[in-house]
Amino acid sequence: MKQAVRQAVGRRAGLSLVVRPEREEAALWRRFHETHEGLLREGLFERYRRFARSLARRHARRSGLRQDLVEDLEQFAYRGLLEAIDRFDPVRGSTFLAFSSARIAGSIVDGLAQLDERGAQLRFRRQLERERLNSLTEGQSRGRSATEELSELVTELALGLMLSAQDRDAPSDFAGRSDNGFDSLAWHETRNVLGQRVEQLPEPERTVIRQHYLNDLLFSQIAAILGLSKGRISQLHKSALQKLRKSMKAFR
Amino acid sequence: MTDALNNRCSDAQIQEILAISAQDTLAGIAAIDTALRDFPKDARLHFLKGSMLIGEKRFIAAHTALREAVRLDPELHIARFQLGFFELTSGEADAALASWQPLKAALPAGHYLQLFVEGLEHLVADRFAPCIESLRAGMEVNAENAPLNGDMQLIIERCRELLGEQGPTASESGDGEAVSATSFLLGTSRRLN
Repeated sequence: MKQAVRQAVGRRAGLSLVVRPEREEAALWRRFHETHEGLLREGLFERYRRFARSLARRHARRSGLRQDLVEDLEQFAYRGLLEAIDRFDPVRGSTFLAFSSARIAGSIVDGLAQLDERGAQLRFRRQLERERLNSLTEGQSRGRSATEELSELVTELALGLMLSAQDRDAPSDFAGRSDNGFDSLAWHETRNVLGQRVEQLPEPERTVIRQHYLNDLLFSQIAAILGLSKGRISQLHKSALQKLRKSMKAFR
Repeated sequence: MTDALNNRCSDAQIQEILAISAQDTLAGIAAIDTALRDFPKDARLHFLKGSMLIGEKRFIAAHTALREAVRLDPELHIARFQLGFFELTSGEADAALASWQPLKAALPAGHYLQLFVEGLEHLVADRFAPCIESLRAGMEVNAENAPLNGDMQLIIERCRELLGEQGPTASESGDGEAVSATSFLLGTSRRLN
């Protein structure tokens, strides 16, 4: 009774004196089940959010995950919670906590798998980029100014980025900004020409470019395919991009 | 007109269901369901079922049953009161007030249900002293449903505590609706009609 009195302070005190939480919860479910109204879904989400968060944190503790991953786990738990809210049938009699626990845990595990995959992809992507940069910066100098070298390097890296984006539709996808109609047209035209120039490269440079940029193979993997050393693949990569840079300069 | 022709099960059958429920609530609910197959429009059966389902914490099904009882027999005043009281205790004050609204016109002034509704309306509006006064007045004239008095006494005590007064502590049974319904149906089938 004292608890009810304490709860009464700060809100409709009279109603708080008689409301029974388990009935209130059931009423929320009943109304949501009848209407599927968004505000009621939000009410249910808020009611169980801490529960979902506690499951995420417990999972993180048991798995010994880094602190910076806990927030990701909480997001996965919330996703599972929302799915559970939409799928729960309150008339059947089982409690929502029992119903949702398995779904929230499943969402956490699924999300964690995606997280691992994404982390692996990021590591892989960094390795690809490091290989490209190392390849392009090898043997720089030979009497040219630093500015010239840097200009060439930037152009070659830009060509690499453009080749990597061959499967994307618009420049804004990788440029990180919105494009207008002219940009989009210029992008598609340049990309098509670049694709043609790649096809005109001599072998094995053409294979190196295609496998590395279009199929995301590492230099070591291409080396295994072509029966060459990784260092040789790096040289072929550099040579191919220099040719592309020169031919694209003529196009501009 | 016989009960069968009137879509109502016999009083004897009601008594039998109550006897079963006194021993085993789930068996009582099953007996009600059996009776409802023959008398699906008997509001008393829906009312009793709803009251027992509350005791079993099957709140959504309970609300459906109480609502059905009121729909089938808008003059079954105890069912209407309990529907509103259940909605009030579920945090649905507006729904409760709407459910009770017809009681004001249907019952004579000074009827205990009328006074209880009046007191609970004061409660919702945080008018605690008038709430206590109305509920007490209702308890004094309520001679047919003692369990309801228990519920109202509990509310009075909570109001007094909020007002800084101290009173004797009443226990909360949690299934007052079932006891109240049983009390009503044992005492009289349709005394309120």
